[in-house]
Amino acid sequence: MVMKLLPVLFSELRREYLLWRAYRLNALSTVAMWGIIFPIILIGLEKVAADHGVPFGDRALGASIIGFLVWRLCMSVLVAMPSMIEQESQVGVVESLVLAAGTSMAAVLACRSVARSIRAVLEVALLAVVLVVLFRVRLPLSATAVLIILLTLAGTCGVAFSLAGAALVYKSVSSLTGIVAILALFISGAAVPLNALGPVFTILKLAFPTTWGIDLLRGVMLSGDDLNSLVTSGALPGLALQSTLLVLLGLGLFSIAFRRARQNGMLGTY
Amino acid sequence: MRYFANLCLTELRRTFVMAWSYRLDLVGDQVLFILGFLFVTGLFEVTTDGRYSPEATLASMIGWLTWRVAAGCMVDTTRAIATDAQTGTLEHLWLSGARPSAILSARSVTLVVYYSLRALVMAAILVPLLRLPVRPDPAGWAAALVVYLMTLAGAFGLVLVIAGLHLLYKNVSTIIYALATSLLFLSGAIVSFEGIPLLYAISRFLPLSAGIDLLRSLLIAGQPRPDPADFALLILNSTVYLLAGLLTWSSAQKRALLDGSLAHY
Repeated sequence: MVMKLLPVLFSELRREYLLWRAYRLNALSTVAMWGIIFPIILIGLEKVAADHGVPFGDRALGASIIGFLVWRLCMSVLVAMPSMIEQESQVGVVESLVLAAGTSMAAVLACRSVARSIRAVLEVALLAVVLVVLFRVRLPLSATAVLIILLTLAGTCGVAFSLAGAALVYKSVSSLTGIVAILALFISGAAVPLNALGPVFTILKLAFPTTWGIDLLRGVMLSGDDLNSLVTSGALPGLALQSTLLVLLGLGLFSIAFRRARQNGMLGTY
Repeated sequence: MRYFANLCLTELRRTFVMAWSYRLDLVGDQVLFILGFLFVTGLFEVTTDGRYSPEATLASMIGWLTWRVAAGCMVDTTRAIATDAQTGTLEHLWLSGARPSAILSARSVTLVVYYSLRALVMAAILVPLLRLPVRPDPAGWAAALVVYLMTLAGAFGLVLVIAGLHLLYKNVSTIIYALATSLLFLSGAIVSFEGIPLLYAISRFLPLSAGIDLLRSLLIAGQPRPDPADFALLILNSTVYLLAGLLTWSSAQKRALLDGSLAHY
């Protein structure tokens, strides 16, 4: 199965590279834009806190940077998946993808999400270097931190699969996804930790694919939480379970949407 | 004048018919931006340990709604041109007999009316919900309306620049999303940059900042009329953007007509 997918994965990686090269100005300007905007958001938050006599220290700064980087990584994959389907159905090549591929469309999309994730990791790493140098914060990247990032990313890919399915049936979903992705910076606890909200935070943690991961990552990178403590507290198994459920739900919803689009002959129409 | 009023009425009808056709999108969009603002202020509440004052929230709301109107007009105007270009109907604007710049202006006026109405609905929900202290001062409101229109005139200038570039280089409309999002953060729409010298100085060159600050001084501080120096700065800013927009639009239009590239995509 894995061997069968390897050529598809290589093709998707090549496709992603070619897309990046063709639109490199667009890609670099987006990275530069967030490299400028996020420090301004941080300065705004610092000002609001200072105006109201509340300190905004290094820990708060680090927490915001971690949240922003994970948000950026996950949202770029989340937004890309439905918009790829939308663009392809607009041009009329979704049907060709279904007819031409030797593997299932879900497998092609899985390879595509891996390729997009690799690109997003590289872009976010560049942003991370800029922010760490600019704000002089220390963000140690341990194996546990990498594991949490991968689990959070997997959960987001699950949601992206559901949205890709929705794009197959409802066609125009990317504009709404884009707005939700931008608002997610504020509502998911990425920009500022929302742990003080109590039950609201618990609901957010369970409902939103990035909130729990960002919270755990802050614990690992800023408070020095280790793998053992995360496993014994049940936080890491919880995140793993959430991501698994999101991936399964995403795949299930995508197959339902795909079947419906095929049955209604909607793959070739826009 | 009558001709332009007719164009505006036609565009207004078109906008409302489209809004009705996509009414679910419209309601979703309104709810999303109301929720978005509630979450942004919630974020400030968390950052300040619950000390974010109603006046500060009102200041943020003024900036948020002004940005929403400007961004909505910018995105919709350029998207309309991009869609026309993609579907091949852009050339019809030049063949229809009406001046394309007049059609574009009428479209922008209509969008200002449309998005202002939407912003009023949002304000009507947010003000009582968050118990914001709005001053019922007619003189201040009249001055605020003038400042508001001047602020949007600057944003319209930016739309003309992007629309002009779109005639020449195609697919420029994607920039407008990034530009509109950047304006929310760079123009001090949510939090004023007063007290941060570098950002404050940079924001003065952007189309929304000066206007939003003046609106705050009129509607929150209760000034009966805008500060003359700040108002002069706003007029200068909007005039420069409008002139740049008109120049870009007219030269791009001429070049696209000469190259015969209006029907290309």
